[in-house]
Amino acid sequence: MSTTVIPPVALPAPVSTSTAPAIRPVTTTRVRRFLGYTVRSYLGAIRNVPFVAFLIALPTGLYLFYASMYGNQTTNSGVNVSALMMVTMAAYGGLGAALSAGNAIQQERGSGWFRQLALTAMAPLDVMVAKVLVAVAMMVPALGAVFIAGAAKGVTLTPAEWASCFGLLLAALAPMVILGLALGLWFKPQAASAGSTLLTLMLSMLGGLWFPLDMMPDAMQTVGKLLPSYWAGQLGLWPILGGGFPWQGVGVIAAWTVALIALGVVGYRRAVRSSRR
Amino acid sequence: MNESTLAIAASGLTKSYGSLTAVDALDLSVPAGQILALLGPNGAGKSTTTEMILGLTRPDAGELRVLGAPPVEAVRRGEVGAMLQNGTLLADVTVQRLLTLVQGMHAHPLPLAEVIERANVAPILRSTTTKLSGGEAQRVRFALAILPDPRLILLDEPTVGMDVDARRHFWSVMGDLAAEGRTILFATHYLDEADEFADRIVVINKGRVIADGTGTDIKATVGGRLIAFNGPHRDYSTLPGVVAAAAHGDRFELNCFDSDLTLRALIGLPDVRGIEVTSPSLEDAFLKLVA
Repeated sequence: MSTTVIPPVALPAPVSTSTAPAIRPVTTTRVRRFLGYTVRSYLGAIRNVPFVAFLIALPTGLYLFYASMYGNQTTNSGVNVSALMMVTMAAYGGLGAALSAGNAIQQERGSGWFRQLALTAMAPLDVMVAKVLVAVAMMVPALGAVFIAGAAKGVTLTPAEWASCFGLLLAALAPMVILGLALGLWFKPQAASAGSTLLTLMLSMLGGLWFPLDMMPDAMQTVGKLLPSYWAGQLGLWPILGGGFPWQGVGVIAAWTVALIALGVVGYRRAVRSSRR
Repeated sequence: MNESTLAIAASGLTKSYGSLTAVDALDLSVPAGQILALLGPNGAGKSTTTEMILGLTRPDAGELRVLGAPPVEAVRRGEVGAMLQNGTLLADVTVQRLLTLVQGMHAHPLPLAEVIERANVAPILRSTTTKLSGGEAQRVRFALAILPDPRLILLDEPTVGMDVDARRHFWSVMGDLAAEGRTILFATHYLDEADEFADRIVVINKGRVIADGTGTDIKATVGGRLIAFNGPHRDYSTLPGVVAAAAHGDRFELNCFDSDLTLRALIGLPDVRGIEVTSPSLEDAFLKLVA
């Protein structure tokens, strides 16, 4: 055989040579698609009972344990210790939820499912923003469970205090989703899961969420005050303790957020390069 | 031909991964409504080509328009649906929830009931994605592909993991979709499948188009079946249906584009024994095409 290439077949003549393909009416809007995806993703995540139970069980259990032992004490300024513990244990729970949920985003992305989502009308950035919102919202059951346990243990706060404690914790811990995500981008899935658990424990312990920082040696106090977990706790306690607003904490958390975003971006580029596709 | 009437218009399409050129200055024009098979061995560049058409991979060079628009724009407008090769499904959700989730993300999705019927996923709606068999998962991927009500459907090795019945059902549904004027491009490494279901076969190897024609054209070049037998020495290449003949001692091998025709003639010849009919692997066929 001398020739192996067959010339292309004659293509059927086009029906029309001038009309562009009609653009069909779009029946959904960008906002509806975004909200629909966000809400359905959240419901899907919250229905994962083992995952939610895992996020709730330890902080709530630890809180009930410590509150039973020290809860009826009061501080020098007359604040009930069970209320303070409620806030710091909720911060620990929220931290764990944010890290795990952030890590789960990368596991879903790494599984290849996001490639299928890239074939929809939703831009990849919108999908990512929705996923981060869902991860932030995964803190709600973790914070809520400890707060409910606190109420059961006799913590009495005004509605404004409950709401501001909850809101400040949620806002202060939200950047930790990016830490979980970055962890997933830098490490293989199993290492990333283990890493997010380890980081949760270390940040909680060193950040004074389990034992007050002022019970620790000076060197550890210095380290603790550089951690976002410490400041999340302080911001959450502010409505109860009063005093000057911890602006320093906002600065520390903002600095961490910038650093984590940079870490995430570098990790993302690295992950894209090494996966070839 | 006016570019806007083409489902796919690619020229000089090139994509490299490091030192490997996956797609090498590929030209491809697919008119709307055609069923086209992209045929090639593993590593020929089928998946990379598909990914570029879907906007998942950006070409290094070349022009590419999908239904007259840049690929990503066509995808966002809901004009393109795809079954990705080994496409991962979201873990730990039911098929029903998965389809509802994705339906809400499209510009003008088909009604869910229609998708469920066409993809034959009604019996597995309550199953969890992680517990599906290979064939069931393919049906879900197929449902995802038609969900946007696309005018162009890309299928990357769609029938892998399907049994014979599922394959038949799959292609009959595909035929219906094509009859509605949708363009279908599927990548495969089975010549038989390409021949049976496609209007046109484009053979690619090492990222280049090496043959382009109807199934009959391609088979006439690469041969459809291989007939081996022992017999006396003579010129067997003149038998009907034969593309090429080769001798290995007393054993002869005929590459045929119509093995039935060849067999009938062969059986009438004296002293022909030990006849064996096999389908050459596509890799073997490619050795011929690229020789």
